[in-house]
Amino acid sequence: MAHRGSALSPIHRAATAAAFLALMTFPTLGNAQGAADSDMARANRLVEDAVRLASRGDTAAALDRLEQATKLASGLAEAHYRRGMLLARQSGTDLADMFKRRRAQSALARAIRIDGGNPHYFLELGRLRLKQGFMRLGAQRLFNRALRAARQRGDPAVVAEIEGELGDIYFRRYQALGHRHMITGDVFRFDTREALGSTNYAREFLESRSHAIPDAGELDLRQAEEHYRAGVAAWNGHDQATAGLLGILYDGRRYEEYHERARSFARAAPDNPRAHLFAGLGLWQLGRGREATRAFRRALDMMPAADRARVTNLSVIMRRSNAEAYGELTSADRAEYNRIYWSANDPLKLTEENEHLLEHLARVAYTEIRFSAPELHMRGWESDRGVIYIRYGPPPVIATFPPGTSQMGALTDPIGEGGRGVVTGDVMATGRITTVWFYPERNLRFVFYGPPGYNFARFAGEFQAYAQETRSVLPVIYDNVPVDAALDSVAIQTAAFRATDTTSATELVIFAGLPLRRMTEGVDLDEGPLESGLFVTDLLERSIDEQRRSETVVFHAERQFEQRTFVSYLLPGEYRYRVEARQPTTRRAARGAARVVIETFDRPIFMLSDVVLADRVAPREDAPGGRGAFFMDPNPAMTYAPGDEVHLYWEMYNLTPDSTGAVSYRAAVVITVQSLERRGFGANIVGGIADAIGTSAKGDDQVTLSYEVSDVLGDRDRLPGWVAIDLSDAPNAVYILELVITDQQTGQTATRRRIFRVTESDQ
Amino acid sequence: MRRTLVLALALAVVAPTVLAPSASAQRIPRKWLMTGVGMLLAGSVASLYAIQFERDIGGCSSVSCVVPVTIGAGAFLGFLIGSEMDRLYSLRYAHAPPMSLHGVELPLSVIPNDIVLGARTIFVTGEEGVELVRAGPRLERVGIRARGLRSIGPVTADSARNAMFVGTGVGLYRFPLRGDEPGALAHPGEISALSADGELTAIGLGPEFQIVRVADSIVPLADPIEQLSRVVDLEWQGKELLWVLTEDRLVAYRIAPDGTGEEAGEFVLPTIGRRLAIEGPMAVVAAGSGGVYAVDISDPAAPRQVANWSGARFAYDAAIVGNFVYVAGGPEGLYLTRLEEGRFTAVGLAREAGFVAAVETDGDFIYLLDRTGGQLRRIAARTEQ
Repeated sequence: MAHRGSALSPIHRAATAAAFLALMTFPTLGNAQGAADSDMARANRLVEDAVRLASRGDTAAALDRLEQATKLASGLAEAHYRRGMLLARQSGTDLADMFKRRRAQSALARAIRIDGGNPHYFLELGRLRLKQGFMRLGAQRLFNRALRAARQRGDPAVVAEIEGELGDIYFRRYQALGHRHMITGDVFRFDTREALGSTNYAREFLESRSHAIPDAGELDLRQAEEHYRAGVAAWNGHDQATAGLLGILYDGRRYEEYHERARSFARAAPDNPRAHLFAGLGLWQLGRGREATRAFRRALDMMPAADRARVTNLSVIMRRSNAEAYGELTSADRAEYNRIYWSANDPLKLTEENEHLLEHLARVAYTEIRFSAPELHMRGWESDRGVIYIRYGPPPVIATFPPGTSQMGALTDPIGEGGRGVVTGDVMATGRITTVWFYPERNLRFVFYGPPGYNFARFAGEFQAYAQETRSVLPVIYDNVPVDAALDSVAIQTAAFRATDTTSATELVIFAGLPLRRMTEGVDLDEGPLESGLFVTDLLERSIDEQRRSETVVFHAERQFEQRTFVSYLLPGEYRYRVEARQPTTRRAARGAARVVIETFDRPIFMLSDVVLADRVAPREDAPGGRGAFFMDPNPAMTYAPGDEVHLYWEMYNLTPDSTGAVSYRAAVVITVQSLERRGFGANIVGGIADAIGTSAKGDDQVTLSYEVSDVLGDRDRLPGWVAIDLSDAPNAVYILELVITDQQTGQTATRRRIFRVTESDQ
Repeated sequence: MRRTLVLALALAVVAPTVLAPSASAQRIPRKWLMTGVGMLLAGSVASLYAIQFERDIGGCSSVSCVVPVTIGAGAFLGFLIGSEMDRLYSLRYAHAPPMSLHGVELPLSVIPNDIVLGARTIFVTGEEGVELVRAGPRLERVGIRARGLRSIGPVTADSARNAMFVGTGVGLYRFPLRGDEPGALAHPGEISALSADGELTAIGLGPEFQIVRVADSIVPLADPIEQLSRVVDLEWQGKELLWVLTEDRLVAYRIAPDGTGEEAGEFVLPTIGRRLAIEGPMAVVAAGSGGVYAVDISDPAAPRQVANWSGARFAYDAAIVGNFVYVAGGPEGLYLTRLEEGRFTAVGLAREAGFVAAVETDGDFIYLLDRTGGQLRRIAARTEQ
């Protein structure tokens, strides 16, 4: 994980820089009453120097100046405080920083001894205590003293700061108790290894061997909320207090409150990108996608470049190999890749917003609220829980188990190995809360261990490897996004024809079957609006063609599919296309998408269009000149019921006439059954050509129908062909249809293939 | 020795209840009760020890040492647990004492969002449609209408025309009130509020509202009237006066028969308005984190704030019956407040009501919606002054 090991350093550096910025911004810089005293004056100048050096990032020199200042004027509290703060903010919770923390503590304690009424000193010492293991228990007392001092001074900004810290302390306590499950029956603990090895263990354990304890930790949660509220009341734009409060409101599904508070935060702190990020989360949760898009965009625009790069980094939701390649891209290439990724992953282009992108940003915003641990210099989106949340969304089931329970049997199993006692579990569980996230629909489970009192948890045991395995199969899911839950499929049949005008473009006809019956199933309306659209892009997701339609349609149709035809003129190349449909009243939608390779019909050789599979094809006139001269009922799903006739339509270009101006061609329709269970079937031409001379041949898995046609081309630039085939005794199966046309004059042959299905289902 | 022990235990348990003023009138502090329980449990353990005690093995192993130490530890532990319970209690009921609800309740089939009262029918809007509930001696489920519609907002019914109008994010739909006939789109656009006075109907269309006449179809009478922010609730007061609650103000409009409106007066809200309830000359506005505002609307030209109460952390909805104002406090439950002498006084909080997201009244009963519990509840409205 990024927060472990060397990856910490940039954050660390950022924290140090932040510390110095804080140094810069504190209003008091030593009292001028000692100006007469030359040592005091020099010490004050050294403190000012230290601030300047710190702002340039020269930490060592700044510390040196502060040390000189404390030696010169040992009674200058400000020098001790700034030195202590600098050391404290540089240090982490590791053992390696123990001596640094001690020096910080001693400097801050000295500052307090000199000036016991300064809330900043208590606040900073309290924060330091939070990094000091068991000593963190004393942090609350220090914060309370700081609060009293701040209130006496009437400093709302510091009050908000301290209330935020106190809120965090209570909330961390709540986290150790929240979602608590009581284990019942004859088991003693949640077995992490079993949860990993046995597919159904987590489900069974959570369903039948434990039950949730209602209101567990409510007191701490309420106290946390009270403190956060007090912080927000003291200073509306305070980041930490507001983020804490927003987290509680969001977790409690108090979305209206969340939205109002986030909106107020964004107004009070318009330049704070986190405020807009959090506002976006609330708006998206309330289904206000357009406004959420604006809020997220504002947040991203305001973010420091490093944060923006992390928030928009897609590697977290990619398979590992892809993520590695992604990591090697330049920032410009990455931005372009991001654009392509989100465009391709937009579930519905018919809507203004990109629901998956919004959900991604909302998840990131939530991890920032919930899993960030400033005292550990850890951003929520980089934590183990944050990463899983971004990939798989909010876990439907959360359970926590106390450290004692995990320890029992985790270290020793008195019965195993002849009662000698063996290590059976994860020793990392010792003294840690076990948190289980369970996604029942996909049976995904993740277990984390975290120390009580810290907003920090890591994958338990081998769950990091499990998370990587899961990532390789399922890099990201958006099951919880409403549009995904109600997304159906559009059946599509595309057919390429030579354009009728003189351009070199190809006419791509898209026959779409919109599943209107399913989309309006169980809806108490007779009719309603239907939006549909065709979206064609190149492989880099640049828009090539976009067609949108809006109409009123009758619901409860008998037919499964409502057919719509789109025509797009495309130059040769490879494209992606989508056909989408959306019913705004019910918010149900459907889409179909695929790639298509467009070939040119501009060459002076005999060529064949794609074959259209239809339910009915009949000419409107005697010598039809193209598709427009036919009654055609295409079959977008290319699925037929047993006994249905299969109608084919195609166009032939550049047939060579003989000396009398007549053209002739030989058509062969080869139908092959693709099925494991094969039985013989037959086929006959039943329509489409009056003078069919072909024969019907029978076989076990293939039928060939062939015939010859002569016609006069006249002033037509193409010759349409059509035929209806009776597959009356064809079994339910998938079939390959191959149409082979041979120009009798030149002997040139062209072939087209289609796959269709015979089934009794109307899907 | 043993008699003394038993006597001490009995005293410890009984003392808090005896010392407390009246158990029924005032809650016994749990820290004392749990101290007694702790002493009792520890005393039982100590008694077992005392019974089986054979010889002193040194240290604090004699009965005279073990018994008081054990009981003391039990008492201390009980005190700590009880103190936590008292703290939780004081946080839960920081703004009002506990109150019990007595009435009838009905589990709902939809995940509910809001309730609207009709003449004899209650309309519960939810994610799966509008659930119709008949209010007799019991609450009875009639059925679900407007199935499949999403983002259902305001609802109004006109039994004379056998019509129910359901506002959504994309339009106003009309359904027959009786029977299972499907509905039809009556008016396109986002519908944010609805109110009918019999002849004229006011429709909130996001940041504007419009007066329409409802016949076989919806006939707009005049152009929509623009507001500075979203219209969230509408209430007719008589046939000519319409109160419009937007997110930032409560404004009175005099509506002419031709559907045009003229602003009469306004009351600017310091926070976001959510719902409006009117009884006589008093309007009550649920304003989210701003709490509840009581506004004197006897002079529509000059609506005047009478009182504000922000005891509930977030006021989702409010209903007024006489001097009593019921406030939907979301996860906190249902607050009952009394409005008198220009101020609100909290009467009680019913936590058992669940996540109260909406509250309505017909004057005799209060209907409240438990969003997370999925229940509709009816209680008798308090009437004593």
